[in-house]
Amino acid sequence: MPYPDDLLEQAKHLANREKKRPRQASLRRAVSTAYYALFHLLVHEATLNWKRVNQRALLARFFEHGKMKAASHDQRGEINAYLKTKPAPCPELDCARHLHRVADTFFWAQQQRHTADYDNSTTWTRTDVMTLIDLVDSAFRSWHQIRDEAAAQAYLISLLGKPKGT
Amino acid sequence: MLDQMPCFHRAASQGRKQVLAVFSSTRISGTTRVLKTRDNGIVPYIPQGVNEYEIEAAVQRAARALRAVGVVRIRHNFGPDWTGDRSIFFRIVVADEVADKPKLSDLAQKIALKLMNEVKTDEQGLHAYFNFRSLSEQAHLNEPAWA
Repeated sequence: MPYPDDLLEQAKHLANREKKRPRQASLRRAVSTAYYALFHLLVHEATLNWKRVNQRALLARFFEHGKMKAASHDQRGEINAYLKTKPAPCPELDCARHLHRVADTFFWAQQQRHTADYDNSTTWTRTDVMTLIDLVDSAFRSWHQIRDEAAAQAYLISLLGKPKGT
Repeated sequence: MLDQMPCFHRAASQGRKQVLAVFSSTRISGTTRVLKTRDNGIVPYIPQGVNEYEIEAAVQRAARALRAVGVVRIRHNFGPDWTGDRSIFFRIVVADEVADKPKLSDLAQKIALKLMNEVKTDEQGLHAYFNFRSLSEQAHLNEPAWA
């Protein structure tokens, strides 16, 4: 997955571009790029399930930020409820923790990206930006651990929106 | 074309009336002065059903518990997030030696989890968001909202 990986690498580069006093432009673009790294990772993974390779780019354009936020919020809530039952260690628990990290990071990063792109009254710091980038990095690793699990694949479908009748 | 549509015209007219209700102009000494008759700029947004005092106490409880991991202080405010959902925005100042560590995500998640559990953000229907800065970054920026 070169494109999402490249975006994440670019976010790190931007966040560390100025060694002493980071420019707000660099930090803002780093936040936005980190979010889009995760956005494109998930969209890319979802579209891999589409058999016709030449239509995957078109399918990718059907994903909407707002619906992906709602799906990530719901996913996080479901996993929180599961974790509150204090399940015994098992593969499902590991998968749930990784998926929680992905959904939670996506939810969080999206709001950060919106602030970074549109709210000029917010001053960003390197600590803030590096925290977000590290979370996205961690979400990438979590995703690669669980990408073939049924729960992870169901999450990808949910990113398109809620099915009718729910 | 749009102006000919009754619904658009009505909305535009209402919009103009609202603007006129908020701002009125008077002429003083030959110059036009705009009088702002309403100012909600300093009224804090507190979502319905949220007890601000309970939340403040919960935030301070979490801050005390997180001191051991390098949290210096935590501030918060309410507001809608980008999709308009009720949200609480936490501003967390951490010690410089913590901020300098390479792995910030584990600490960030620990802080976030503690705050969400203490404040019960999900139960209150609040989306929680977190921003972090180091003590020296805040000393340099000197922003009252983080002080």
